[in-house]
Amino acid sequence: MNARRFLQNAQRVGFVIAAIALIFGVWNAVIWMFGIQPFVLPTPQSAISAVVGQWSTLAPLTWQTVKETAEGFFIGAAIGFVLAVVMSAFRPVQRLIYPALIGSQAVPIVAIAAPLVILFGFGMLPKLIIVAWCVFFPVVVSVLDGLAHIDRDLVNLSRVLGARRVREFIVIRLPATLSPLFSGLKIGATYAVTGAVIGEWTASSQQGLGTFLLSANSSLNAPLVFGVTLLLTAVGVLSFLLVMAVESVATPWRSRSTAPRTLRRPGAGRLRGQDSGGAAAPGTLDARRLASTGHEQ
Amino acid sequence: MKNPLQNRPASGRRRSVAWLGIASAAVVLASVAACSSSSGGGNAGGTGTTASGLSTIQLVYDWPGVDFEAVPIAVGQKQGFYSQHGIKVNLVIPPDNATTVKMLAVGKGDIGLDSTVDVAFARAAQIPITSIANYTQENNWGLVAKPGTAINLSNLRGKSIGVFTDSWTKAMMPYVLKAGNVSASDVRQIIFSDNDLTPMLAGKIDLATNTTNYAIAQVESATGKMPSVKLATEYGAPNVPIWVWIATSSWLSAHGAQARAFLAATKEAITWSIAHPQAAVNDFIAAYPQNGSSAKYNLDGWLATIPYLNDGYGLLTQRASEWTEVVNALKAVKELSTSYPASTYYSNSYLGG
Repeated sequence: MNARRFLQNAQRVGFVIAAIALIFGVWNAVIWMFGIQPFVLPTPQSAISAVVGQWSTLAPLTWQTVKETAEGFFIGAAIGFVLAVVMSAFRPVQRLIYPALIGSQAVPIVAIAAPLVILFGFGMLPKLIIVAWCVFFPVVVSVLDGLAHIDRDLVNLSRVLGARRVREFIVIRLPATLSPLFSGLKIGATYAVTGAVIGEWTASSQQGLGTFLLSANSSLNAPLVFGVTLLLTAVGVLSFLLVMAVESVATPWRSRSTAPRTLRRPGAGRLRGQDSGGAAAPGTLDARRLASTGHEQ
Repeated sequence: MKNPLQNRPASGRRRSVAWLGIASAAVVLASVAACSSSSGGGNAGGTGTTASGLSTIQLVYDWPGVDFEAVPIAVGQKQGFYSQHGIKVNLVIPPDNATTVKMLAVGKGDIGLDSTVDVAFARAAQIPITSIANYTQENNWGLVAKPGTAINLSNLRGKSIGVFTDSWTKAMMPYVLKAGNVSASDVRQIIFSDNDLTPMLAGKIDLATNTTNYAIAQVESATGKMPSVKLATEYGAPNVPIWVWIATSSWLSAHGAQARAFLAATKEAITWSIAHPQAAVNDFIAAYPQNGSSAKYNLDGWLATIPYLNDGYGLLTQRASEWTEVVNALKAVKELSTSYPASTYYSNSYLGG
């Protein structure tokens, strides 16, 4: 069994390596076929070599950009989630706020960046606002969508069983938001890096990869420009993978038909949506969890 | 219940993924080929000839938006200086301020307006760019403060200074710090990519760095008053031109006559624009109504540019010493490791008599 899993994992890694090789192969082929000069499009090898050669300079800048990306991402995700829950719970609020949210995404961030800097200074705050601005919208939309598609029968049943609204939210609605939440978070994770770069371009007291990119560009250092771009891409891809990893732990029903042994409780019976005593899938009802409220009728 | 896709034979999935990869690669290659063929793989219009027999010159600007530095170009077009010399000039706006050289090098433009440092970087990157004339003759970069605020270099410690990511700023900042007897860590350098004057006026930073023509135009437009300025040349920075007219060696070899015609007409247009600043700015606004700035901004900017166009060497004329000083300044801040003889960077031979 372990050998089979090892083979599956090896196959996955093999596909990732093949995908990267394909991208770099096409990149090199395009340069070779069309005779593109290196100051316009350098080879991926020279771009990577430029990053390796300047790694001592780039390492702290990468850390700075990663910090901006991560912190802004968490803030945006939290705001998006809370907004979605509030909007879902209070229809008038949703009708009032939703058009404004859509409008917010149509605003060019670059246009509001300068006022943000004037208002909040040159530290992390304006950058975090810009990253959060990029992240919160996909989270709001995804979570709202999840909350709108909850099985009404389950909600009615929970009420019949006497669950309060808070309990109903924790047991039925919250788990149902997880899958769409992670869809929103995955989109947000890739947007967050772009947000961090735009944030750095507005004004910074500390240099990051975004400002370094501009410096390299103004020095006509194409290999370094593309190298830093690859580095930013890697940050975005790693953010996405990290969210995927958390998703696979938080929503085991999406990747496994049975819950891990560590999550099983002895004597747990079969309930709707469960295979063999694991955690209930979202949108299904665990009567014991509702009963623990003491409101079973 | 298992995902039905998981029951598909592994070899089938492998084949699907392989085909997907091949299809993706084919789409990418086809797209690039289509883009390449649609752009003609050469000049964007190139040095062609119009119906009226004028040679067309694609002039690539130095900034991703047209502004008052293009006043002589507009005057050359509107007042007929270019047509009198048998040329028609089309102004091409680059996507950013570091692409002018690249556009010329790949044949997407004929002549460019660019910064002096970009010529030095282009040479270091083996891009055969030659500066054929100066636009401005002096270094008008410096520290800028709010109107009425004195700039005291002995008080720099702890001050916040707006800086840009360009190499000119990097080359000039050591002179600022040296004059203030401070190190880089003694001041707070705030990095901007576009505009440091608005935060300076809003009191968010103590000092901005900019060229005087843009600083004066922006601050005058915003406050109606002149900003305080301390030029870098006052504290030891080389007095070298910031903007130059450039072209590739290959284009110059094939179109030397057009280069001479362009510079002769531009010289006449600059002279006319200096003598008639208001009319020149009116021509600019009529030619480029999409410039996005007020008439006052454009007039203030052009008036602030005029003093730096002619420093006694004559309009457009270059000198070897300016190139030596620029390259040395860039090498001092480790922005440049390779340097060549001054004559490699420039040529006055297209200026005519």
